[in-house]
Amino acid sequence: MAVDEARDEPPVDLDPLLQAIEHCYEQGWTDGLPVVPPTPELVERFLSATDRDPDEILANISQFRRVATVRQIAVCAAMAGCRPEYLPVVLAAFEAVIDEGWPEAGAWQSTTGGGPLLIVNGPVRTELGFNSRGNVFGPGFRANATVGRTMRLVIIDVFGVSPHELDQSTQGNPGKYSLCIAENEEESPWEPLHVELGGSSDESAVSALHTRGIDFIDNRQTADAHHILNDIGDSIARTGTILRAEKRIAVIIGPEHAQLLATQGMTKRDVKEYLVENAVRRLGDLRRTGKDGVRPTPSNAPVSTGSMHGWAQPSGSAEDDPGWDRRVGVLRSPDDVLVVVAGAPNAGVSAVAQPLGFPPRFPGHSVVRPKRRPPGEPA
Amino acid sequence: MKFVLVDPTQQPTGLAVTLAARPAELRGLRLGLMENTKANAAALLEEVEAFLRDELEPAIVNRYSVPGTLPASDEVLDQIAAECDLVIEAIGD
Repeated sequence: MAVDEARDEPPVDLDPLLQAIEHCYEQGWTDGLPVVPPTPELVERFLSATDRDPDEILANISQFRRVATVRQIAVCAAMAGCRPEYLPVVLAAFEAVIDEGWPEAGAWQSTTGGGPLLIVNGPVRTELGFNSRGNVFGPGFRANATVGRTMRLVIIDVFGVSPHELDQSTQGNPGKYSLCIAENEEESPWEPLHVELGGSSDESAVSALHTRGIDFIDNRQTADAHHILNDIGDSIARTGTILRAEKRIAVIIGPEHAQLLATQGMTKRDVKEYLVENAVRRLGDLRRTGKDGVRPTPSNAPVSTGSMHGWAQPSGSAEDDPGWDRRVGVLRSPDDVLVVVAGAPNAGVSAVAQPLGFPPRFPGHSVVRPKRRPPGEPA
Repeated sequence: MKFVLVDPTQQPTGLAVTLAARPAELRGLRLGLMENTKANAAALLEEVEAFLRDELEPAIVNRYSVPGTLPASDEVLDQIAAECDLVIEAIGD
C-alpha cells in the first residue's frame, strides 16, 4: 500500500501483533530474530498441507525427555516464517537430521557448536523457490531461509536446547541461524545427490549433515583439475579442523569448478578418490599445532585411550628431522566424502562443509512426502 | 484484540520416560566408571572414585571407555548393565 493511499484508510492497530512478537521473545521461543506469532489458525493451515497425522512422533530423544510431533514442527515452521506448503519439506528435513544420528548422540549440546546443513534435491526446488545458484549459502530466498531456520527453532523450543544452557557451544557458528541449500542439478555435470543415494530424479528429498562451518576455496588461477582439488584438499586438511586422525567432509563444488573437473574426465567418484589421496597435511604442521599425536578415529566399541594411529613421531625427534615432512591423509575412503554442486557459474569458487565426527549415516536423508492430490485435481 | 498463541515448547501429554529405579542402598554394589575418551574424563573419574570410595565401598569397580563421538553400542550398554549396579559417567572435553 503506497503511503498516499494509506492516509485515506483507517489506521490498522498493529499493537496486538507487536505485543505477540514481544511475547514470543519473553517466552524464550526465538533464535534472537522476531518470529511469526504461532496462532492456532496459522498452525492449522500448515497441518492442512500434509496428510500426516499431527500427533505422529518423528523423534523421541530420551536424554531430553522430549518428543517432536508433526504438530510441534508445524508450529516451529510457522514461527520461522515458512509458507504452509513448505511443511512436507520441513518434515523431510527434520527426519534427515534425525536420520544422521547426531541428535541422539549429543551434538546439539556439544562445545563443537555445529548445526544442521540441509541439502534439497528434486522438483520441489523449483516448485517452492529454493535457491541453488548465486548466494546459495546466503540470504534472500524465503524457502532456504525459513526451512533452515525451522530446524533451529525445533532444537530450541521442542527439545529445549538453548545457548548457555543445554547448548554449550564454545563459539557456535553463523550457520546455526539457518543453513539450507538446494543442489544446482541443472548446472551439475554429475548425478544429483539424491539419485546417488538411490532415489529417483523425479522425487524430492532432503539430506542433512551436522556442520561446524563452511570454508570457501577461491581458485580462479588455474584450469588444471588437480590444482583445484589440491586447493580444496588443503581446506579439508586444515589443522584447525583436525581433532582425530581422520574425518569426513562435504564438498560443495561451484558449477564452474564442477564443469572444469568434468571436462577433464573426472566423475564424482574420481573427485572423491583424488581427495582421499591428496587431502594431506605435513606432520611437521601438525606438530606445530600440538596435534601430531591425535587420537584414532573411534569405532563403535570400547577403545584403549592410549592407542595411536601411526601418526606420532618418536618423542625427541629433532625439529629438522625429515620425518616431519611426511604427509598424512585425513580421509579414510571415498565414502567419507560428500559431493554436491551449488552456486552460480560466474567464478571459480567452491566450499567445504566441515562435519562432526562419524555419525551412523552420512548424510542423513529423507524423501519428501507431498500431500496426495484428490483424483482428478490437476497438478 | 488479543492473540492466542500455540506454545511451541509444550510436549504431548501421556508420554513418560522411565528412569531405572535407584538402588535402595548404594554401599557394596558393583560400580561402573564410564569415560568417553575425551581429555581429562578418566582423570575426573579417578578423583570421583577416590572421593566416593569410603561412602560407596564398592564390591568391584569396572572401568569402561566409550567413543566420544558416537553413541555407545547396544552391546557395550548391555555389558555395562550386566556388570554394574551403579554407573558414574564422565564426559571430559
